[in-house]
Amino acid sequence: MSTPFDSKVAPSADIMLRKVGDESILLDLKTERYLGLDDVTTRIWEVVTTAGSIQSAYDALLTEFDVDPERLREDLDEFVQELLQLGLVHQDRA
Amino acid sequence: MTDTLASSDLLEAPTTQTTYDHLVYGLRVRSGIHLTAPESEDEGTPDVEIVHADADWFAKAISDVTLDGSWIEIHELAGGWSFIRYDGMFQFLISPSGQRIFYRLLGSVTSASLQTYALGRVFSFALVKLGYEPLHASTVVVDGRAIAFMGASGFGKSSLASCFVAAGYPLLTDDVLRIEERNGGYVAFPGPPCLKLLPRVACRHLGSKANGVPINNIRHKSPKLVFALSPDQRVAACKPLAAIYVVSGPRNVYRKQRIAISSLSPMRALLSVLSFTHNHDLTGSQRLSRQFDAAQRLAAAIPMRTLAYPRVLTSLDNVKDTILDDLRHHVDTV
Repeated sequence: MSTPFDSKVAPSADIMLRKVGDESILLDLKTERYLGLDDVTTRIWEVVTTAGSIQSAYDALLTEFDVDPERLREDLDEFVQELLQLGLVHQDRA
Repeated sequence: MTDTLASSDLLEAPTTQTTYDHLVYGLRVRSGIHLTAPESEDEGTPDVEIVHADADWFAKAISDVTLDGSWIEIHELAGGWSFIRYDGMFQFLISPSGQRIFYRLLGSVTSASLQTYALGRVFSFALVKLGYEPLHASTVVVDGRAIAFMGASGFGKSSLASCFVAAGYPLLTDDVLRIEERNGGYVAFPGPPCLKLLPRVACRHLGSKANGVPINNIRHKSPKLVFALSPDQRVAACKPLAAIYVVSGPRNVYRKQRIAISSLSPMRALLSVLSFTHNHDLTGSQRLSRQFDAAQRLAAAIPMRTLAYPRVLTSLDNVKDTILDDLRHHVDTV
C-alpha cells in the first residue's frame, strides 16, 4: 500500500536526531536504538519531515536530485513507509 | 599509601567505623577499606561512599530479585537502585543518586579484587547516576596530555597502555575514564593506580619482578592479574584530553595486519563514543538523551582516530611509536 502523498509526516516525540557533518544519527528513545543516516538519507529526512506534504517534499527533492521522477516517487514512498513502520514518524493530514 | 597489593590481604567485614577518604576519578571517595588510591586531604562530604552492609540488609534489599546463578548478575531495582552480583565473590547495591555503594562479601576475596571491581564497572554505575558519562578507555599521559585508548573489554587497551608505561608515559586510568568539559575542551581524571594485565604482558612491560594479584576467585578464574603501579608509572592529577584512539577489536584484525591509524568520520566518531560509553546497563530516556548529547559534544571537540594493529605482543612497541608519530602529525597541541 502506498503512502498518500497529500499527507505529511513529522518526527515522533521519542526521537532525537543529531546532525554530524552531512550525516545524522537518530536515537529512538522508545526502543533505545540508534539509526545512522547517510548524507542523502539525512537530506531526504530533513525535507520530508518539514515539508507541508509528502508531495511538496517530492517536488523539492525532484529539483534537488538528478533522479528519474518515477524512481524518486517509489523510493520516497518506500522510505516513508519504513519510517512509519519503525515508529520514527507519525502521519497527519496536510 | 602503599604501592603493593598483598594477595594475603583477605577482607573481613569491617568491625570499626574507621573510614578513609581517597581521590578517584577526581571525586572524593570515602571507604571503610583503605584503597590503593591517593588519599584526599579535603575533609567534608564525600562524593561517593563505599559502605559495608550485612547479609540481612542485602537480603531485604534484594528480596524481589531472582538470581539465576550467572557469574555476573545485574538487576535494576525499584526506586532506581542497581544491584550487581559477582558469584562467589561479592555483591553491590548502588543508590539511586550514585552517592553510596553498598557491598557485601560472598567469599574469601582479596582487597585488590574488591577494589578492582568496586572502582571499575561497579563505580561506573555511580558515575552515571551522578550525571557523568564515563568512557570505556585506558588512558596514558604523553607530554602532559591525556591520550585515551577506547574499546570494549578484551580489545587490548590495558596491554597497549602498559607498553606506554614501560616507555615512560605514565598511566592516568585503566578501563574507566571520567572526563569533564572545561574551557572549551575536556579534562581526564586519574583512576586507581593499577593495571589489569595478562602475566606475560606485565612481565614484558612492567618487569619480571612485577607482583600481580588475582582478581577473580578459583571458580571464575581470569588469567589477568592486577598490578599496582609505582608513583613514576602513574599520574595523580587531571590532564587535558588530547585524543581518543578507538581500538579495533582483535577479531577485526589479522595477525599480519599492518598498523593502521585513520581519522573517523563525524558519524563514526559519534557512534564510537556511544558504543564505548561506560555503561550500557543504565538506560531510560533521560540517561540516553543525556548520553547522546554528551557524546556529540565530545566527538565534535576531541580528535578521534581508529587504531588497528596485529595482536602480537612484540609488535606493541611499534604500535606505540606509530601512535606517538600520529600525535605529532595529526593531533593539535592542547
